[in-house]
Amino acid sequence: MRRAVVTRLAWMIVVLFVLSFVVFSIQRTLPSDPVRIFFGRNASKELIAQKQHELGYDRSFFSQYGLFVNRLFHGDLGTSLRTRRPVVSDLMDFLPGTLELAGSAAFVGLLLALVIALTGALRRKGGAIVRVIAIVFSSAPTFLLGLGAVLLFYRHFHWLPAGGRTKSATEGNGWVLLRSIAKGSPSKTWEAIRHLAMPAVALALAPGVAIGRILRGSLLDVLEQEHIRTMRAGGLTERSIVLRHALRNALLPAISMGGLQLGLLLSGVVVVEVVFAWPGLGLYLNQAIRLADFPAVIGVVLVLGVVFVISSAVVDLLQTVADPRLRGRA
Amino acid sequence: MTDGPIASIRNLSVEFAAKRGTIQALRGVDLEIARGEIVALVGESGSGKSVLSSCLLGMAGPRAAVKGEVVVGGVDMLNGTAAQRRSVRKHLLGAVFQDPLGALNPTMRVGRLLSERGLYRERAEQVLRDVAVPDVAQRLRQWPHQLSGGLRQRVAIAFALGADGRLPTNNSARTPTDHLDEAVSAGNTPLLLIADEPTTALDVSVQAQVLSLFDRLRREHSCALLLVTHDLAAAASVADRVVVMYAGRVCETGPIAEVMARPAHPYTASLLAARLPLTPASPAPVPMRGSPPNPAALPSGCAFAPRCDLATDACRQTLPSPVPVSIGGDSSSGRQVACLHSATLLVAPSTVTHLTSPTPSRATATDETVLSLVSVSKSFVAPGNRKLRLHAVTDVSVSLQAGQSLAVVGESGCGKTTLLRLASGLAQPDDGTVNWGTSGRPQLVFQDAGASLTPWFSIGRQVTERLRARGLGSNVSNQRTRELFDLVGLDSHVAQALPRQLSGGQRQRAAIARALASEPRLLICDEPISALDASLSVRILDLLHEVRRELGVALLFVTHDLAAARYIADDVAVMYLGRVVERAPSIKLFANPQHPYTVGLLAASPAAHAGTLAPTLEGEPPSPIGQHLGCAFASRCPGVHDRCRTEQPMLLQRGGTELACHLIPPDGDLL
Repeated sequence: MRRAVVTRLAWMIVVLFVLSFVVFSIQRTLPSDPVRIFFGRNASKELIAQKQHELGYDRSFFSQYGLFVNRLFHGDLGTSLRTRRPVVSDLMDFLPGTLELAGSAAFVGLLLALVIALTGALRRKGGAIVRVIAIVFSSAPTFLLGLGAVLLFYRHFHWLPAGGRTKSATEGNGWVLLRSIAKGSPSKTWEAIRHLAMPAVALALAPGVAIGRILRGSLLDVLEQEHIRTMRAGGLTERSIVLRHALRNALLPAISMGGLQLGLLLSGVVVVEVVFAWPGLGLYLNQAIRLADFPAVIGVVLVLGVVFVISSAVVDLLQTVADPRLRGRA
Repeated sequence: MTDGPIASIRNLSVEFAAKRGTIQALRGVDLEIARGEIVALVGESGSGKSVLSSCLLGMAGPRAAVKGEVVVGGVDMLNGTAAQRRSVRKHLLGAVFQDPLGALNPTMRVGRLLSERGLYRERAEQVLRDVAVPDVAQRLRQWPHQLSGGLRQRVAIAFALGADGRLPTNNSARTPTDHLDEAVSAGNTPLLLIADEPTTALDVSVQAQVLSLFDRLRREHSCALLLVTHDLAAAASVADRVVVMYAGRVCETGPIAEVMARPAHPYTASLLAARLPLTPASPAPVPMRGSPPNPAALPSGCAFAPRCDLATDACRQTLPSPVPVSIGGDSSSGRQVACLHSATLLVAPSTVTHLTSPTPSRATATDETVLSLVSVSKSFVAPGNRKLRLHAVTDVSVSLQAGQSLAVVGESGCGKTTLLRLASGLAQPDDGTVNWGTSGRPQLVFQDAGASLTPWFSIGRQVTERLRARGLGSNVSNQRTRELFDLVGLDSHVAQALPRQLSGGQRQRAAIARALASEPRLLICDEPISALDASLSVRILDLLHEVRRELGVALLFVTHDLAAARYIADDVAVMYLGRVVERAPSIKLFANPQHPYTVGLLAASPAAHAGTLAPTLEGEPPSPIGQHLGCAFASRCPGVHDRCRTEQPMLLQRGGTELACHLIPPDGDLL
């Protein structure tokens, strides 16, 4: 077990290095010059040259990368050219918003997956309808789904807010949902959930349906297996057979699918945040790319990379929790 | 409820709607099981015996159209509510299915699994001890995959024994602790166990242990048993009564000893005649003609008529029902036979030919060596601990001449499959050499021909392709394909069929034809008949004999079926924990086994004991992981002495037998 964790950590560092190097090379080969954008059209050549020297942009590529890595080890990702604040403090402001959104989406997605799988496997009436509707909606691109939801639930019914994380524009950062739960404020919690509802569902639909379809198929396979027949012959109720005996055996393929969907969820979150003006890493990244704010772009990519690597490791761990036969193997 | 039968089935018919018409699984079956009675339900696959046990459990399924009456413990198992039927399953019945590896939920520890059936701590330990599971407390914490096949089957039986034997009379709320107290104090067992091929997948020694367990449950707890099986010898060792089924109908029933001694239905007689013998001077097996009828197109008359020597026009027109017969004026035995000609059969039993020599005459072996394994060893990384090695095969030497046949027998985990992989070149030995002489790579025939044939090519094409791959022209290939089909006894018109359109026997023939297309000098067979019914397996073995005689091909036959080994092989090698412990000519080995393990293995086979329980070979083989000092069989050997525990016995000649045992002195050596 410890060996597996150590291997994982080593891999995580390798992945992050490769990731940082790739993003770094892309930005250095792009034609856009952040310093020119930063000072505007009318800046003097001397001023630009001075700033470029200050930021190290006049040095060789590898020397710049070395500088970048050296600062990275000291927890310094540089200063955002756009917000003129340290990138690290920007990330600290926006990461919680993204984690709350992605976390809620993962929760909603798993719930959806379970509904699809269980109604299918227990052959409940209406299961097929739920499946068809879910598949139709999950086939639409996320941004279209988001826009449609805004038109319907905000513009037409006035049920849900169109965007943002709270009513006030200033309180957009940090752990909005978790803080209001911790404070025990039902009105603020409800407000946070109302804001989360549309973006989380839009983000959750595609992964939820993908996992649900896999889980349903695997559950139907497991229900044909001999040990399930043994349980039926033992007089167990169908409910406890499905929930206690079949489900855990059916989880493995669904967990693998979940691991694949994680990457899609993290790229989807960028799109959804833009559509719903959600102050998170995605929105921050979107604005940074437009202004060629390279330090900010690298910061977001690295943070999302860490989130992805950690959550994939958790997914792998879940496999061995679900199936005891996988334990004790390398 | 104590009087009268526990379960009664009257005029039960079950149909399934299928693409090719209605499948008639059962057609008017009557059956009663009394308290403490052991009934064997015998028949080929497709005879309806598994459907019958599903109906008894009230689990016929939504796709079955069921007519008739099934009553268990006073509850209607066909029309009762789902809750009523479930309650009968929970409290009165226990069920054990064929596959011990799949019978337990792999994600649940044994203790938790048993608690699902109301067997909590003390009661669970007690039941596990009842079914002869060692180290009970430790087992409760283990996962199913950590147990051997035999142990898993015993845990499955323990689960089946969780029923308390009485239906709850009132539904007043009970706390879990009440339930616990009651279960511990009651200590009851189910009224009826339904065991569907419970020993088929098990090794001979474990099989004997499970059968004697059933016998003990009946004696100590009056637990009745419906033993669904195709193995007549296993059935005869414990059952009181036998019900023989064919094409969804009962063709004969009566006390099992009587039925086996004097079968009154031609089908029963041919089933008995098709058995592979194990004891010396037994009659040679007579393969049954034809194949079981298509359940979607059953004839209006007796379904067995097309395969029956006694059939007349009357048989083809009327469907015979079971009627009581009297034997020697005694009609009290409850024998019933559904045959118009039962009297003929009883008066003049068909004459059987006796096997003079246990193996029929063979092609003489030539000097051409087709396989030579010289002290091969193979080990793997132990599952769960990469520092240890699992020693699958250790220092085995085997050589085979063209036309010779050798059977390798042993329990699961003895290394026979690894040896097969080494001999066929599918695996490389860690030590030692594998040589096929000038003959090239051997061909393989597997247990499951359905899985070894490519599902989307016709079998004709699969054979032709092998021939074309050898550079033969298309005309020659097609001609040769027809010859091969002829040789393996397949009609040339089935060449166009896909594997799934064939019966199990036809598929195995096609697999053999495909293997022969490469003109191998050695055919390696991995349990080629264990998935087939008794009537078919003799014919496949006869085919292998013929292939040997006609083509001079050598056979290496890997099996756990001792009777099949005896029938097919000149020589038999017995493996135990990765080593050959005894190798002798087949006649000699079965008449006079030398190694204590061979002796135990033969004794444990039900076929060796007409109608009585075989003595069990206690214990299990030690783990193949890590190194062992001394003889691996020492832990189970009745005659073990000190030297066995410290010194590995060598495989030495003792009067024509190769033997690895310290107890028997080698030639010319006096102990």
